Amino acid sequence: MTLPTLIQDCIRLDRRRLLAWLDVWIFRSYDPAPHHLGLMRIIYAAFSLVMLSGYRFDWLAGLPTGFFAPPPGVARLFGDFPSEPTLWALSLLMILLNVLLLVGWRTSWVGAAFSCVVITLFSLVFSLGNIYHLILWAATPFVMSFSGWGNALSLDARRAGREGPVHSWAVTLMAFLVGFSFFTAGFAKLYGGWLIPESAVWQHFMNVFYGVGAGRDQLLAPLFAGFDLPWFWDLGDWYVVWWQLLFVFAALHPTTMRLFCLSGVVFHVMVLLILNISFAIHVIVFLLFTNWRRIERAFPAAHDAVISGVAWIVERLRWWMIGIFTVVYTAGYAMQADYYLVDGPTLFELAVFLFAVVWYIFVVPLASLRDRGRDARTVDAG
Amino acid sequence: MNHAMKAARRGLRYWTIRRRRRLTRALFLLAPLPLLAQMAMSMRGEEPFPAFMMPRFTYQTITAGEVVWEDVDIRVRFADGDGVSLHKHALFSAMHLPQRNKVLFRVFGTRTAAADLPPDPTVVRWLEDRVEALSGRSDACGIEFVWYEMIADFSTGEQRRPRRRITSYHFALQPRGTPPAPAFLRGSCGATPT
Repeated sequence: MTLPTLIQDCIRLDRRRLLAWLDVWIFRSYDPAPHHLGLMRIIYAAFSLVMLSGYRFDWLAGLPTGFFAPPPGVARLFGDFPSEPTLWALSLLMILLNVLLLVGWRTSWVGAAFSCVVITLFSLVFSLGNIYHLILWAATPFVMSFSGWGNALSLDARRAGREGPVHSWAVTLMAFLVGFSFFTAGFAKLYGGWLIPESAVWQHFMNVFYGVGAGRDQLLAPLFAGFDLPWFWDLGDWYVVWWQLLFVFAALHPTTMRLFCLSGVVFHVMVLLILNISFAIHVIVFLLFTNWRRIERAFPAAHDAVISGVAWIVERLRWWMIGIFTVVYTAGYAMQADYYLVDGPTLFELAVFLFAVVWYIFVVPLASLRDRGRDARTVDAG
Repeated sequence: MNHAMKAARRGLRYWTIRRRRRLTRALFLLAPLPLLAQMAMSMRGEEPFPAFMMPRFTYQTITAGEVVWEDVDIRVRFADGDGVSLHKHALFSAMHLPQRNKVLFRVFGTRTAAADLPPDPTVVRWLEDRVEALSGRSDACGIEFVWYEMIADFSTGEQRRPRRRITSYHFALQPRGTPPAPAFLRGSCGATPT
């Protein structure tokens, strides 16, 4: 069904055809294989383990009630910052659930519980006044727990003796949530006057480089401080606002969604280099929408090697190994200083962005070319 | 009988699948409602969490090549008349970096000072603990947050400097090991003169 036909059906209120379009969008937009979602689960859980290793929450216990100003939501269930034992208990639960998500044990429940614990802990941090917009990363395990991403490359699959089914509607739902989230930012920028002359990107950059955000003068920020090209900064305004506004509509079509994700990676890399603001979490979420089947067809040897390697590890995984890993990780977590006490992006975040650039700008387009070339050769031969 | 049971089971499975599809469709059709509600709540000024929202980065005006912002100088006074300056990052050293400015502006900022409300006793106790931990002295009798309007002229490359003093917010602290003094005797540890 094409867009003009869809619009015509909406106007005519052709219920049957609209429902048919809805079903195609919800249930057939994405077609990952079980092992693709399993790999996605492992990447997400591994990324979270590294990222969360530097986030401590016990320091909240030492803060006065006068600092507690929770936003509407989960944090308002608490009257004050919890005690240190409570915060440590939640932190340890978070670590345990993260490890279980990685190995894929009771994945649906573990994923949903992990989301809830992470959202609770970060809600308490945000009670100080600043909300980090990490909801897409935090909500992913909850939404994906309906997808069957624990049905392959996991202890659940090993116990069942086979891969289970996947429900791609969860991936479509994630796409819609990603699109809507960015839409809210674009709408607020448009409403707040971003497209009026005097570039908002430039003004924000100058404010954080020279003023209140002192410390955001790393990577390419000093180079851009003297970049006196108004058209460059105005282009940035228009690009950001319209990319964010249109994201929710891009979510209605998988190929467009992937293009917007590619654009999103470029956007976040530029934000990292110029404004020194890191959103590595979004780069990981964007991986969900990759056309994994195309990657499988374009690079069969590499794909099979990765899947076989991971399957080999899962097959040999034992509970004592998981136990030792969890204990060592927890000890390291308890002893490490909270890296969020220093400013600027970390080496890990820079590595994630480097991976994203290589993946989206080289691997994915190359896979597309090779896949289309293979189709052309098949047509010629056939 | 076997055929009938198989057919019944297939029919039941079909009904369950059909029902699940309907529920999923309903989820997608109804999902925009709470999402739009959270967006409306945020536009009215109170962003909830969890909420599917991304940062707004509101418009910040720069005029005449100058970046202007507010910054704070924190001064501690001791019972013997000594004084020491604390950096804001030292005072909030255990706190996540992005939260420090928010707490400073919200709890110790110019608007709070202007509201002239009595200080929160839990905040005063926390300040006493932090000052003792940082200075090594337990006889601090006052702490003052002096707010300045800061300026940086990026067109000339001028470094950050204070342009004018905006206001100050003074908290009386209780030196450790001494009984609380009556209010009329606390004048020697008051705010610095403007």
